[in-house]
Amino acid sequence: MRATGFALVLFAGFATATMSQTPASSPNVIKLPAPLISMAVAATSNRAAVVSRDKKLTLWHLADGKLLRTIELATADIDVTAISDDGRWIFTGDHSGNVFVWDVNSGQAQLQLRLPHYPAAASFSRDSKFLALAPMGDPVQVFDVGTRRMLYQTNAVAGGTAALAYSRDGASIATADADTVVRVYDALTGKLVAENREFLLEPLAVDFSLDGRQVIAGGADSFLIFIDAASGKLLRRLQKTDEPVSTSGLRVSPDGSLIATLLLKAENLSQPAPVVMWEVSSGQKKSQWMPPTPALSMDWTPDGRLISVGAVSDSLHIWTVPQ
Amino acid sequence: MKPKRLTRREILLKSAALGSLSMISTLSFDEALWAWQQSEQKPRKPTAWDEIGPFYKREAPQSAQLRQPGDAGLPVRVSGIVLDTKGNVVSGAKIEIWQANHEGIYDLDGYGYRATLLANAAGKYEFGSVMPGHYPGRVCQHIHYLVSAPGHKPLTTQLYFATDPVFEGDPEHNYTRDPLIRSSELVRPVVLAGDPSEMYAMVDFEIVVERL
Repeated sequence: MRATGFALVLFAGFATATMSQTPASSPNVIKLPAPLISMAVAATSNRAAVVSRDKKLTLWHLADGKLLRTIELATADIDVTAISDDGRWIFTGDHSGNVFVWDVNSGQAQLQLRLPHYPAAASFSRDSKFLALAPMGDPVQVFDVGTRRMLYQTNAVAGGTAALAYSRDGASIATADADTVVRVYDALTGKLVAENREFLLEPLAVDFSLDGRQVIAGGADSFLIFIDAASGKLLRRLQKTDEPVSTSGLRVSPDGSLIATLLLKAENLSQPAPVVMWEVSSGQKKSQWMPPTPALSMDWTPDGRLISVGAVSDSLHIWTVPQ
Repeated sequence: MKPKRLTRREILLKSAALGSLSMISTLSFDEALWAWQQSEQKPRKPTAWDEIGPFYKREAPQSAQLRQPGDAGLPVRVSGIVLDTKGNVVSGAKIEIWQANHEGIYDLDGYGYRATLLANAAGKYEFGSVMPGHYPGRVCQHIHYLVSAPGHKPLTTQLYFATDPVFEGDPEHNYTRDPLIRSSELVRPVVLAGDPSEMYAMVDFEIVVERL
C-alpha cells in the first residue's frame, strides 16, 4: 500500500523483529513527502523530527503515524537534526552554519545562530531546558533554550567534538572529541571535570550510565569503554566490535541494563552495519541485528524497546530491535 | 631521477647568471635579494579549515615515507612550508597526516598511511605516499592534516588534488562537488615527474597557521 503526498502508511503497532540478520517482520513505515535528508528520534515522547529534500521539517508521532507539525526551512542542506525528549524543541543545523531551535508548539524559531562552519552534533538536556551544541571544529556551546542565552563555551579542542550527551540529572555533559579524548564537563558551569585518553582513534559516541557516575564511549577503535565520570579513570573495556561505533550511535536503556550501539561500515559508509546490544552488568554482547538499510537514528522508548530508523527512498522504516 | 627544489637565492643566482635577470638598481645583489625576500614576507591568509573526519589516530610514527615497497598506486611526493599569517616561518610545527590507501581504505588497526612530521628550521616539510583512492562516502581524493605549533591555533584541513576526475579538469569551478571542500585553495595542482617507467606526482601545499 502506498500513499502520496503527506499521507501515511503505518502498520498497526511496532513490529517485533527476530534475532536473525534480516528481520522476519515488516517495519512500521511512514511515507514522507520527499526523500529524507536528516532525522532525529525522541522515543520518550514517541516523536520523530524529519528533514526532507523539499525543505520541510516535519514532526511525526510514531505511535499512530500522525503528522504533528510542518515547518518550512530555507534549505534542505541540513547536517544535524536533534529533538528534545519532550518533543517540544527541534534543532536543525545546515551546511552553511545556520542553526535553529524550533518551537514545535508555535512553529517559530526560538533560537537562531550563525556558526563559522557547520554543526557536528547537538543534544538537549533530558529536561529539555538546555541545548549543547558542538560546532564542527570549535568548542562546545551551551544555551538556555528558554532565554536564548549562551551560558558558556568549553575550551578549544583540536578538531572539535564529534558527539555529546547530557547525564540524566542534567549535571554533566560528556563529549567525544576529535583529539581522541573523552571529556566530562560540569553542565552548569562548563568546567572540565575529567578526561580519558584510552582511545587511539577518535571516539564518536558517548552516553552516561543511569546514575550519571559512568560515561560509556565508543568510536573508531571499535570497542566500548566505561569511564568514571568524576575522575576519567578507565573502569572497563569491552570486547572489540566488528566495526567502529557510529557517530552518536550509543544509547543506554531507560533501566540502565543495556547499551545499544549503532555501528558503521568503515569501508563504505553507505552500507548497512549492525545494531549491537550489550548487557551492562556482564559487559557481554547480548544480541546483534542487521538492518536492511543503514540505520539513521535509534532511541529507546520509555518501556524499554529500542527503535531503529532507516530510510528507503521517501519512507521512514521503523524497526523494533530484538534484545 | 629526483627533481631538485631550488631556493629563492638559487633561482635569483641562476637567473642572473643566465642573463634573464638584469640589475638596473643601485642596490647590491645582496641588498636587492634581502629587499625582495622582505617583500615576499607579506601577510597571508590562513589555510582554509576543513573538518577532521572520523579516522584521526594519535601517536602516528615519525616517518616521511608512508608508501611501502610494493604498494599499489601512483607515488606522490607532497612538500610545503609552514608559515604564520605574517609570513614568518613556523619551524618545528607538528604536522600529522593520514589518508586512505590506493583503494580508498583507511587503516584503523595500524598506522598505514599515517605519519607525524616536524617542519624543519626553514618551516619546510615533505613526505612520500601514494595518491589516495576515493573513499566511499566521500567525493574526492584527499589527505588529512592536523597542524599544531606552540603559540598557534591548531589547524585541521585536507589536501585535494586538481587531477581528481571529479573536478573534470576545472577545480576552480567544480570543487563544490565535494560538500566538505570549503575553499578551492585546498585543491592543489599536481605535477607529474620521473620517466615513464617510474612516474610520480608532486604537490606543493603551503600551510598558514594563525597565532593565538
